[in-house]
Amino acid sequence: MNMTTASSPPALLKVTDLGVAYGQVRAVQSVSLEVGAGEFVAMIGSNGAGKSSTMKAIAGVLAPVSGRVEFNGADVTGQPSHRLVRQGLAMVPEGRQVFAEQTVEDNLRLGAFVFSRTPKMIDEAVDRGFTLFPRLAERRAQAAGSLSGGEQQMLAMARGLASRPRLLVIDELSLGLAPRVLDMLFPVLQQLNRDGLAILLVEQLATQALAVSHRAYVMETGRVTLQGSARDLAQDPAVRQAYLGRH
Amino acid sequence: MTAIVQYTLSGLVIGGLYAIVALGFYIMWSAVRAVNFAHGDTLMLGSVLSIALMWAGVPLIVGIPLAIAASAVFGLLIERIAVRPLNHGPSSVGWMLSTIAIGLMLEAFVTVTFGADPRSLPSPLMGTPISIAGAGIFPHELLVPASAVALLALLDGFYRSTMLGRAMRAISQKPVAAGLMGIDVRRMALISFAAASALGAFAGILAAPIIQVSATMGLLLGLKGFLVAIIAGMSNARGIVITGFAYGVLERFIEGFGNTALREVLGFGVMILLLLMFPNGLFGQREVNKV
Repeated sequence: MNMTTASSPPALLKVTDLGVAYGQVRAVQSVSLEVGAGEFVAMIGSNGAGKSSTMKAIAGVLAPVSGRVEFNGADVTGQPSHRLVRQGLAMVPEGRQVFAEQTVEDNLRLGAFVFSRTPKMIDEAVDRGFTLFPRLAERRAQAAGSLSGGEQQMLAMARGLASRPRLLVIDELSLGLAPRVLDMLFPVLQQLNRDGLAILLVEQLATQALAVSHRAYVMETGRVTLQGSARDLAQDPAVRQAYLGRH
Repeated sequence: MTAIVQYTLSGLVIGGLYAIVALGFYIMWSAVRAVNFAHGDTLMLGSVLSIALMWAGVPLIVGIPLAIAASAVFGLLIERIAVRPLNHGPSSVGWMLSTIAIGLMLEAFVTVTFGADPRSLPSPLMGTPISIAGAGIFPHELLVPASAVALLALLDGFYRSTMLGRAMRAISQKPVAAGLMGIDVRRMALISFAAASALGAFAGILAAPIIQVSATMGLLLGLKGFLVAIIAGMSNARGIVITGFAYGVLERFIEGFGNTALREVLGFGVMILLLLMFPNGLFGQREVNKV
């Protein structure tokens, strides 16, 4: 272990023994994870491992049945998403979920809903989004539903960033997107992270996720089975056999 | 010729009323993809309350806002107890039954307390009719189509350029994503129902000097307002107002050249025909969303 990673940063997000269930069906058994301030953490694992459910419970979309979520030192377990956003925890949901009938610009404005009382900050958020993805600026007056999948993902990311979060949770960035689009999106994530944003990325494309993140967790059937630095996990024989080399 | 102008004018009056009722459905539908089927009864509530307050000696300038505010609270309650617990996505129909039931309960309650006799609200603008191209119309009646157009402009601006308006449309499209933006979805649903009900009460009060106020006045108005919203396509406010006017004028012409019974038969018949020809509504666009 080298000196730069010897002292890990104080945890921005700390999840302890989190459990999620849909009725009687347990989707997440017990998951513990941490994301430090400014850290880029990935979570990989196959379809149905419980990654998305974990993220939904962290972001307040679902209430966990057990465990604890701490954000910024405060217990936020079970708090609804609309409150967590105001504390700096934002999520880009699986499948983009853009407001299809509304314009690209309105989607961005909605992303800055937490600044409703200060219109200037909303305008700034829109400008930041258009600077990050100039393609969106060209389509600002178009209905979001008319965008391509890649453009919708850009919009979802810009919208998620509009509230100026400290931690951005991204659920399945690559879902349904062409490799060409991903080659553009992953570097954007890295740049955002270098600028100080902590990122928790759930991703099925393990190779790409491990290439951009600092640390990673591997999830299987509702549990974290492996964790470590992204570099180490990329070399791990078990990980290589299960998740790498397929893409 | 005079008859044609007369039918058109009075058609625009009743059509404006349908349009305002339909805009209430539009507000609710835009927010939660469900409506208060007792929305016609909020019209009744608004006009009955303002008459009752007038009887109690409250001046209209105070009584009318009070009646509108009370109807907004009625809308809040409808959302909270009759819609939210029963609306779990596109296949839910429980809210239809519960809101209709509450409407019938309200009608029964008003019949008992307010009496079954039709009443009317006085208006200083109902004194002498004015003449337009030989046709007569009361100044108050002209307020109805004017209000419909003004409300359309107001709503359009609200949805287009306020954060509250944007949020009230966003929650029905993607409730989870709306929550992730910091929008309190439940609160927005409440606000939308309160606003729609306040609008309904306003429509009722506006109509109270023109039509007869009674416990059952809302039934047909609510139904026709809903039809107008459906025919226009629920998601287009401008189309709703145009359709409302068109339906009102159509009705008056059928009535004028035929009779009242024919009005309902032909009027609803045309509506059904239009719905068969345009399943998404005359002005509705198919919902666009690439996945």
